[in-house]
Parts: sequence; structure tokens; C-alpha cells
Amino acid sequence: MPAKSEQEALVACLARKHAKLAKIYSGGLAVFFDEGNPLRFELAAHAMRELIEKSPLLINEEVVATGDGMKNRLDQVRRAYQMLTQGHGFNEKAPVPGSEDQVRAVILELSRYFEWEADNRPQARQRTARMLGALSGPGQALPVDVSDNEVARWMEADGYFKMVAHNRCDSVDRDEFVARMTFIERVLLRRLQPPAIPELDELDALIEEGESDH
Amino acid sequence: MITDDLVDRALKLVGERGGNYEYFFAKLTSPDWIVPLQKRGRFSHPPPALLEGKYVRFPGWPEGNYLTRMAPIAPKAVFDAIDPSSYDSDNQHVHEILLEIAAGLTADLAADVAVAEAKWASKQVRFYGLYEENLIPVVLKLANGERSDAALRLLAPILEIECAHRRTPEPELMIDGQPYRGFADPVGRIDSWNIQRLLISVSKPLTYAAPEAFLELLSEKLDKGVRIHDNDRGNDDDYSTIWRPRIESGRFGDILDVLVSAVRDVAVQIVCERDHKIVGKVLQKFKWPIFRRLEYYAYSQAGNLPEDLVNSIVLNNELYKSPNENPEFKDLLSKMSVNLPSGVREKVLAVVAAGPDLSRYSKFLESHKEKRQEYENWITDQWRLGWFSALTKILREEQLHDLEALVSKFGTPGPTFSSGGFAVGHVAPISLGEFRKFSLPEAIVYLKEWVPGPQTHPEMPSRAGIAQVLQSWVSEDPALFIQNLELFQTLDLHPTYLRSVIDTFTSELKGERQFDPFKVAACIEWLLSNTNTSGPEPYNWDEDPGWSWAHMSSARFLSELFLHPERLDTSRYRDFWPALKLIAENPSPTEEDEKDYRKKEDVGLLALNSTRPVGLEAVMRYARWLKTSATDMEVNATKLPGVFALLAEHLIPEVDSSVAVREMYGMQFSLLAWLDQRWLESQLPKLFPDKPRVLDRFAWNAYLQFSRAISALLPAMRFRYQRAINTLQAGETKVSDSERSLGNHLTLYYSWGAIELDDELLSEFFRKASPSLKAQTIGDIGWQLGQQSNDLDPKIQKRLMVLWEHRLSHGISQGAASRQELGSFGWWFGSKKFPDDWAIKQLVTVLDTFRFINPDFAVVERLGELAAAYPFEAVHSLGIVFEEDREGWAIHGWAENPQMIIREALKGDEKSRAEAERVVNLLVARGHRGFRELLKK
Repeated sequence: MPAKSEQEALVACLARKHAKLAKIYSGGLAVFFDEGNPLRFELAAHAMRELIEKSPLLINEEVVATGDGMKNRLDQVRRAYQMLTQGHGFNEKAPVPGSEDQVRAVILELSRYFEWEADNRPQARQRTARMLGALSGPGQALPVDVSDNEVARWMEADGYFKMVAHNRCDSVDRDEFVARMTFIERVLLRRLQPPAIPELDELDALIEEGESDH
Repeated sequence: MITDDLVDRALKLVGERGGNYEYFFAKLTSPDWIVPLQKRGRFSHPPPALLEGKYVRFPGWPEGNYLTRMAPIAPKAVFDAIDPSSYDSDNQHVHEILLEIAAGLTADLAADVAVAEAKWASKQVRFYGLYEENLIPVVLKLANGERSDAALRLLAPILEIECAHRRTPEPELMIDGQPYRGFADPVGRIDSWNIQRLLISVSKPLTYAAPEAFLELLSEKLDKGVRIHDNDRGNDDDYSTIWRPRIESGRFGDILDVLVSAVRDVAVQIVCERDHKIVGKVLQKFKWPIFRRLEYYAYSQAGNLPEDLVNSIVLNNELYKSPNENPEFKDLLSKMSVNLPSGVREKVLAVVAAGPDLSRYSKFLESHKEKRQEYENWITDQWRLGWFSALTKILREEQLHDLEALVSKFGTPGPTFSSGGFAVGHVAPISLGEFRKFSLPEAIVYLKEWVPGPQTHPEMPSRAGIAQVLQSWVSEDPALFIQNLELFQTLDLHPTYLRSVIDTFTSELKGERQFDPFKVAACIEWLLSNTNTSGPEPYNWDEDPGWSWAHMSSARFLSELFLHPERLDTSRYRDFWPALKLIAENPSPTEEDEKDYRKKEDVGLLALNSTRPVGLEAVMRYARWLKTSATDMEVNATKLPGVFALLAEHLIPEVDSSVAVREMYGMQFSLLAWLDQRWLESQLPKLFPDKPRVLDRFAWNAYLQFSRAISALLPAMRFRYQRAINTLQAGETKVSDSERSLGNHLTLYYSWGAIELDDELLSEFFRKASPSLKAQTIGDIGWQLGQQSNDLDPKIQKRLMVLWEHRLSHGISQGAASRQELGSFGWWFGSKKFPDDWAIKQLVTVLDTFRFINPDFAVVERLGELAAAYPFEAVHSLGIVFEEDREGWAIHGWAENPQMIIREALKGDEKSRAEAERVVNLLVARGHRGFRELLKK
């Protein structure tokens, strides 16, 4: 199946702003539409998460390295938990005395994780909000509730694509994948190539209709 | 009709883009949208303040603007739509809008908004933007709508004041075992100018509506301000006669002054329109003298004060301590004295006849035991002069005689610190008219004999004051002083006077009056031979601290002199030499003088303000004068050895290690090269020595900033340019003036053909320079070309095009690292000094590759001129420049050029039209909705 016209338009927009991003995205599209490829979702998800990660390039900002991501942080917790359960044979019925050090180690790692999450996630949210705001350009920002929702969906999609890319889900639902892909594409395309005039015309018509009998 | 479906469809579009959001709420004209929008929570999300690095931004609130417009039409619906959380918003713009909404509501609804707003405002430490501007209509509405209670609550937080934080904590200084406390600065939460404007706007209606409460509010703020100013000094004086000499006239810009004026105006309005008792009741609650002064001022403005009130005031002995402590009481006394009953009048005169209480001055008198009687008399005379002059209308005959005698002795009394207490000038004990009545020998005797009295306040007569009078006289008749200049050549005369005479002659050099400059030079020779500046010269505001100022003035005279060849006779050129030699040997500046300056990067400041460097400048100008004016004379190191030997001597560090002297040589480098290039070449290693580095640095920086590049000297100067290039730091983000000049010199040498692209100087410069410096250098080429009105020499044009193409090709291979440098091509493009075809091609390449160009305004203006010939390139470039402007301000400096470019593109081929439509959508999306019309047409 060929790419949709919006997708082609996005490739062109990205090419104008940053050739590298256009390459990542068009590569992702190619593999996504290659239905014979058994790893097409995983590979397309890789492209999408790369596109998301590198989107600050669109506003001439540096890409924030995500090496210190959630997965790395959770690994520490997982190791402590495995030491407690597999290494020490602790389970929900086992008595705590005798396993105190291992229990404390799990609690310590969990504390560290929650501390990191409390600190890092808002920062990531702020970075995303700032990036999407800057990509819209100066002028009136979106209503704050709309913008918060958009940022949340952007981050959720990022998490989803990372999960698919790293084969951390048993099967990929095509519709779920497409919904997130379309969302990211729409967010970017609307900013890079805004259909401003048709939308204002539409608003004019709605207001006129609403106030016609006023 | 507004249906649910219609609202949902509209809100869907609102959620798509900020531009839609703003447009929708700006277009609504009916209040019928309020309820359905409120149901969907649209008024519950005022945008928060945005912290961006060190800056806070307060975004707009389109819903709030809509409610503002609807407030007068549907006040209740609007009031109900305000979400209580809005009052807690950290976005100050939201609060400005809430005030706008309140101004449109009924007084009672507005009062509710005002009370909620006051709660928020009382927690703020600073108000930004137009908050106080928006406050005015609400306060007026409340005052006129019988809700002055809410008006005052709203007003109180914005009038709050506090102590300004000092940037560095002062160490606690102990004097006589007590901590020393200076004055502190009270500051408002908005600028005092804006407080003044706010109070002027609301004062009259609020005073009318709530006289006592409003006066009390203002007085509380003033009381707090005075307490901060007093800074726990522990006495009851507020020193208000210094910071507010007269209640009647305030100064601008000071918070205390603004509050005094506000209290004054309200108090006067109350005594004139209401009851004077309110003023007394409120102002007497506060202890500071300023409140007493305000009270008496207000009373003095009243038409009919009760007799018993007046009598009780004028018979209060405490108020007669000093005629200067409460000038407003003195004015009141003066005004009321004629109408006092005779008994009261006699009592007042008896108080004045009794004289001052000298025990108040005991400390001062104790410390001047030897002159005690003299000072006691002086204090008594001044006291009587003050009170007698206030009571002239009721004085008895003998008292009038006394007053006359005091006036002839001291002059008519003026208010203390009449000029405001701070920016006072020098005061002379003699006027110009009186001074001119003397013959010059008599004037000299006066100057020798006049001795200043004890300095009790800044307006005491001083030698500096007499010097100003003397200067006026010299300037009126310079010839008289030239003839009698020898009279000033005596060590018995204070240095202030001869210095001021020389200064006047320096000014007169630029004027028309003729005088013999050789006589001044001879006087300077005497001065420099017979006076010295060794030893400390502590600064004194009232007179010259020693002879050093006179020496500096001499150097300035000599330096200025040789810029006026029409005043000079070349046949007498030798007559100047003794003075020049002496001034060039002057010890100032010493190493001690330069200790701190050597650590700085300032260039020229010390050279231009120190005696020896300015003296050496005079020597250089002397040589120039001879070279240009003495036609029978050859001026070079061989023919004028004395001058050049003297100049060379000061380049020997063992003889002269002053950095200021090196600066002067660097500043005058072009002149020295013009005087004798070969001599200068021989001096270069000494002017820019390897060691000590500091001498080299000051000479080099001054050379770069004050002298032009001279290609003939480049071979001899290569070593120094190379040294400068070696010190460049590629990671530096700032560009110093010297580095900028270095880049300019090198590119100039290249454009003249003195060096080629592969010359080590140029290639090393571009290799080692930081991106900022490279950008500055490339940009400066274009900027300088843009300043030239004539056509560019084709050879230079070609060389520059080659340089650019070389930098572009190198930059493309380097990628983002070259963005800043190549973005500076905008200056070249805007200069119009290159072929259009070539220039626009380079521009498009830079924009497509780096999406950055500087300066945008010059580029867009030039694109406007080229749009007809290059429609696609022009609109395509415009689109990128606009899209990459993150702040969104740039377009406001582009005039009508974007419209012109788009119109031309819409007339062009399909590719141009498509690009124009894309750019117009982009413009409209970012709020420039006027461009929408271009597509409609």
C-alpha cells in the first residue's frame, strides 16, 4: 500500500527542515507498507521512536540522549527483585526475617526509581511541551488543557513505539499502531504545513451560523 | 443558533491550533456562547505563566478577552463564568484580564472580583505589564459606585513598599561602639513613576468617596517608606528637608517623593472640601517630621481655618527650634501672621526675639572651642534671619532694621538644600559682577585671602565655586588674562584657580576669541617646573586636591592646541618645546595609579585621562602640526630628532612602563606611521614587546580599536598579527572589540590584495577563530560595504566573491558549525554590492542549507526589491526566514516587503504560486491574519 498524501507531504516538510529526519521517517514508511516483512511493525516503530526522539532538530535544538531511560532504571529494580526472589527464594509466603537485607535492597532501588521518575518524567513532559510549542511557532499557544493532552498522547506514543521496537509485546495490533502513528504524523504535519486559511474559513462559518439569530 | 454540535465542532478546530483558538474567541460577539462554553470547562483553564530559562512569559487568555467584551452586555453570566481558580493563576496577564472584566461589571460584582484579586495581589512581590493600568478603571468604578471599601483593598497591595535588597551585604561598621547604619532604599512593587500615574488617576474620586480611609492608607505607606529609609538609625529625624526640601514641589522618580505628593494632594483636598480635623486626626498618628510638614502645608492651603487652631499652632514653641526644620510651618506662619490677634502676634514676636536654644548646638560648639563665640553669633544670626524673614509683615521697626542688617550680611535666606539636596553645584561667595569690579591684581589678592568656612552643608561657598566665576570672567575677556597671566604664577595661590584659568583657555581654543597661546605655554612651563604632584592628594569636592589637576589641564591644553594651526606661528615652534618636554616627563600615571587598570580590558580610558599619555599625544600632534604647516621644514626622525627621540624613549620599559602610554601610542599608530613610517617600523618590536606582555596587550588593543589597517606596514606587522591569531580560542562565545578589529584588518588586507586566500594569516584566522568571531568578520564585510554609497571596485568585488565562495564551500562541508558564519551573508546580500543573480543564488543556498540568515530585515528588504525578477527565490527565502524566527518579532521590522514579495510570487508560475500559498498559510497560522486577504484577492 502506498503512503497517503499526508504522509508524502510530511516527508516533504521534513526534508525541507531536516534531511536526516525525512530519511528516518520515509524509511519507516517504506518498511511499514512492506507487508511481506514479518518485522515491519518493529522496524517502523524504531523509525517512529527515532523520529520522536530527534524531533527537537526541527527547532534547531539538540537531541536529549535517552540512555538514562525508564528501561535502564527499571533494570536496577528488577535485579534487586530477582536477587530477592530467585537468588534468595523469597516469595509472598516467606517470612521477612532472614531476608531483610534483600527486601531493603528492593525498597532502596524502588525508592531510587520513584525519585528518578518524579524528577525525570515532568522534565520530559516539559521538554516535549516546549518542543511542540516551539514547532508551532510564536503566537497564541493551544489551550492549556488541549496542549497537556497532546503532550501526554505524544509521550504515550513514544513509549508504545519503544515497546514495539524492542519486541516487548507479544503481538502488535495494527489499528493501535496506526492510531499512534497517525497521531504523531498529524501533530507534525499540522505544525510544519498548517492549513490555516481553510480552518479560519470554517470557524467563520460556524460563528456566523451560531450567531445568525442573535 | 448555538447548538451543542456547533460548539463541539468549533472547539475541535480551536484545539487544532493556537491561531484558531485566538481567532475563535476574538470573533465571538454574542454572550450566548458563555454557558455552553462554560459547561465544557473552557473558562477553567487560564494559561499558566511560562518559565523559559531566566525569563517568565505571561501567555494570552483568549477566553478572558471574550468575557471582557461580554461583561457590559451580560455581567451576571460573565461573573458566574469566572472560575475561582483563575484568581490563583500565576499568569499576571490573566489577572490583568480579570481586572478588565471587573471594569465592565456592575459595582457590586466588580467588588467581589476586586476582593478576590486583592487576596492574590497581596501575595505578589512585583507587578508586571499593565496591571496598574487595568486597576484604574476598576478603582474608579468602585469609588463611584459606593464600594470604596473594595477599591482600597484592591489598591493597597500595589502601593506596598519594602526595603530594596542590597546586591552585596555591607559589612557592619561600628562607630563609637554603635553599628553604623546608612539610609536604606524603599522600593515599590511597581515603578514609582507608575505609582504616581496610578494615584493621580484615582486620587480625587477616592478622596471624595473615602477621605479618611484613603488618607490613612497613603499615610501608612509613607510611614513605612520613611521607616525603611531611616533604617533603624534610632533617632526621630527623617531628614525629609534633604530628600524633600519643599512639600509643595516634588521631584520625579522617588517613591518617598511620590507618596509625599499623594498624601499632600489628598490632605489639601480634604481641608478644602471636607473637614481639616480629618487631616489632623490621620496625620498625627505618625511620628515622623514629614507628617507635621504635610499637616501644616495642608492647613496653609485651607481657605478658612478656625482661629483657635491657628493660634495653637503658632504658639507652639517647639516649632521654633530652627527656621529650616519645618519650612511648611514657616510658610504657614508667614501667611497667617497678618491676621493673628494682637496678643498672639506679640507672643510670637517675643519668641523670635528671645533667640535660639543654643544647647541644641552644644556638641558642635564644644568641638570648636576656640571659635565658640563666633559660631554662637553665626547660629543666632541665621536663626533670627530665618524667622524675621517669615514675619516681615508684622515686625516692629527695630526688628526690620535688624533684618535688613542680617540680609546685607548673609543675603536673602533661601530654603535649605533648595536644589533638592543632591545634585548641587559649587557655590561662590562672590558674583561675577562683583568680581569684575576688581582689577586683576585686586582679584588675585581676594583669591589669596579668601578662606572657606566650616563645611556644614553642600551649599557652602567654596574655591571651586569661585573658580567657576573666574572661568566666566576669563571666557569673557581672555586677552586680559593672557596679559596678566604671570599674576597667577605664584605658589601662594590655590591650585584650583590656575587650573581653572588653563581649562578656560582650552575651551577658548575652539572658539573665535584671539589670544596668545605661547603665553599659556610659558605659563604651563612655569607650572610644571615649579609645582609637583608627589604625595597623596585626597579627593575634595570643594577645591583641587593639589597640583595634579592643573598638570592634567596643561596636558589637555597642549594636546588641543596643535589641532588649531590657525592660532599658531610655525616660526616660533621651538617656544613650545620646553612645556612639551616637561609634560611628556610628568610622573602621572604611576605604577600605583595603574595597578587595577592593568587587570582590565578597557582601552583608552586611562590614556585619555592621564597627564603623561596626553602630554605625549601633544608631542605627536606637535609633529603633525609642523609637518602640515611648516612648509619649509621636513619632519621625520632625522630632521626632528628631539621629538622622535623623546617618543622612542617612552617605549623603553625601563624608562616608561605605563600601559596608558602604550595605549596612547596604539591609538595614535596611524599618525606615527604618517609622520615617519620607517621610524615606526623600527619601533614596532618595542611597541609590541614579547615581554612584558601587559605593555604589548594595551598597545595592541588600542591599535586595533583606534587605528586603521595600513597595508604598507603589514610586512613589518605580520609578527604581531600572527601572535594575535595564535591566542584566538575556537570555543569562545563572545567577540571582543579587538578580535573583531583583527578580523576586519585581515579581510581588508585580503580585499586590497595585500594577502591571498591561502595566506597563513587569513587561513589560520579562519581555522582558529570561534564561530562568533567568524560570523562577525564575514558580517562586518557586508555591513561596511552597505555603508558605502559608491560602487564597489570590480577587483575588490571579485576578490570578495571568491572569499565568500571559499567560505561557503568549506562551511557546507562542516555543517552546523558554520551556520552562524555563513548566516552573516545577509549583510552582503543587503549591501547591494554584488550581482543580483549571484547574490540570490548564494542566499538560497545558505537558507536551504542552514535555515539561518542575519540580518533578516536587510535581507527581506532586498528580497522585496528582487521579487519581481526572482519571485520563487524571494518567496521561498521569505518563508524560511519567517519560519525560523522563533520569537516572532522580526516580521515587525519588515515593513510591507512580505506583502510585496507574496504578490509578485502569486503573479508567477505554478511553483511560485504554490510556495506563496504555503508561506501565506504559515503567516496566518502564526497570527498574521491580514495575509489571508492576499489569497482572497
